[in-house]
Amino acid sequence: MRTTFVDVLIKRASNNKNIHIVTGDLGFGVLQPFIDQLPSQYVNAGIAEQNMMSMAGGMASMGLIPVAYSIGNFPTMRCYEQIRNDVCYYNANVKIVCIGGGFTYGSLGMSHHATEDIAIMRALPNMHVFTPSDRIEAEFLVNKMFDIEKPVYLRLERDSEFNLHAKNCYFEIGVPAIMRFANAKEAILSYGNIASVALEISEKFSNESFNLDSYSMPCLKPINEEKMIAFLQKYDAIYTLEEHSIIGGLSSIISDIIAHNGLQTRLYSFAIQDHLCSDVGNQEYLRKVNNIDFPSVYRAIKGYRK
Amino acid sequence: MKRNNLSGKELSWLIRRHGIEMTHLSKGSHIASVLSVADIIGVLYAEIINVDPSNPKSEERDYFVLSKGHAGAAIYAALAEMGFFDRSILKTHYQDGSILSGHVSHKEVPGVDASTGSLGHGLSYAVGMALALKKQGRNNKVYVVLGDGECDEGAVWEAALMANEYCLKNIIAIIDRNQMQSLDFTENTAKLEPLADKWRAFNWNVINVNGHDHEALRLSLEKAQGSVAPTIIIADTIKGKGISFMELNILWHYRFPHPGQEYDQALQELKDQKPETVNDPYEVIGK
Repeated sequence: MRTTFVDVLIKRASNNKNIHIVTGDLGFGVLQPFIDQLPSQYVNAGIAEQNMMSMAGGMASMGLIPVAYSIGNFPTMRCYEQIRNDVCYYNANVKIVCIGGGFTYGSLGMSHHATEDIAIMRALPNMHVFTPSDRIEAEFLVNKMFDIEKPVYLRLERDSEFNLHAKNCYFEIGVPAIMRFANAKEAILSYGNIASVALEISEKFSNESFNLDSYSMPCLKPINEEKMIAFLQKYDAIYTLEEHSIIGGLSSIISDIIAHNGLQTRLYSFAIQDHLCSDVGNQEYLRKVNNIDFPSVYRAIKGYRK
Repeated sequence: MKRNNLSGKELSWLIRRHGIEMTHLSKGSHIASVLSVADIIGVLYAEIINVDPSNPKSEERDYFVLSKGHAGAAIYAALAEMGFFDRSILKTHYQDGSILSGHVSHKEVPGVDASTGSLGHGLSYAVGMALALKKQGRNNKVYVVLGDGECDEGAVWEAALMANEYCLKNIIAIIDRNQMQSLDFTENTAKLEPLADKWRAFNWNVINVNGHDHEALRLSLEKAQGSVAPTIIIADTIKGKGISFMELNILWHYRFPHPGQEYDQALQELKDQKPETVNDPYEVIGK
């Protein structure tokens, strides 16, 4: 996704001199092609995220399109009020890019787990929240991000080892995107790299002649409520799987829609429970200890279906 | 560039007059901050900043950020007197349905470039503006007014680093150095001195000035125009300046001029300072 992001960014920035990358002193190697090709559109704001974000607001007020770039919680939590007051209040054309959503940087420790970012970024008025699951989604969303002249939060992770979508998959803002469809009565929804686990689970069930549709959610805000209601009504049960806190992420989005509209769809949520993870290990390991890895989720769904 | 017929002296007096009236009517806070910054804003708007009330969004204009957004009444008063909007609107400050919130908001207020109120944002926002102007090859200036207590905020110093890094000589910032913050004197809270040395160490062009001396303010602002580094003008002021019982008294960071003796005495003291060439707007249009 990172490479896709930089490729599309370079393409868009080459055609639009207003686009500037503003990094919080991160992106070693990743941003190099951009720096080489478009040096005058590159700003290193140093290790000072609060200043970086207000600065991005000020740049946008002059017609530039800053892309504030950092990792983990640095471009979100560290400068949350700056995003609220200096970006969202103006509905400014600022893009915020986080590399390393969820447990991407698992082994680096708790400080580097971005596991509440969706909850806080969703809460900001005017903010869009984009959560690509693979390269195809990333390409669609990075382009979309520049088409929308408003604040966008883009959460990037590691690439999946395989494509989650057919090449001609249709993407739309705020509605699920098909990964595997067999007209089942139940579906699993996910976003980010862990959507690959959701797809694997639905494939495993289909081999056991027990169908489970699977979808990714490329955009968690705005949600197309009307289409989402119709989508949920098709299913008896929905499983959400996310590498994020149980509070404020996809599970909350779906449960809100079900509750507000009196839908009969049952909801089962797989997410990180309300704690800060002090376990040490890589992304795969931390999924396991938080019961959001393939075997845990597969077993749990199997249990629910008995 | 002068866009109205007011002098800095006249505008500063009007800011104080409106400030007393606005906080009196609204029972609002921060009158002492309005009084301390009145001369700075008065000189800036009447004599320095290039703005055009008939075309608030002009590409040619200079930009202004009141980073100490709690002195919002001062900037609202200045903009109204400059002709950006009708001064009768000032009376709605703080009121339900008004466009004028206690802290500065740009929404629907002609002439306001930046919304502030949470301290430590304004200079960074101005750095973004100034960096963009530089990249766009435009010569507009960005003026910022900071509080001295605001310099407790780490983001101020992040911005100071970055303005130097990008040689943003188009930033002219002024610190309203009134020595007081929310609960106490700055030097009893988190010592700021030696403040000028701090900014000098960040490679800023530092100018010290008496923040109530109009001639000195004007000269320092003119001097800043040719600087090769970002400029910080440390303007020594008196919190509550102009109303004897409000000066250097922390109470007036919060208290509004109550009806009766407080309001009457404040008004009388102001009237004694009124330049002959300016009319008291409240004697003309009523309260």
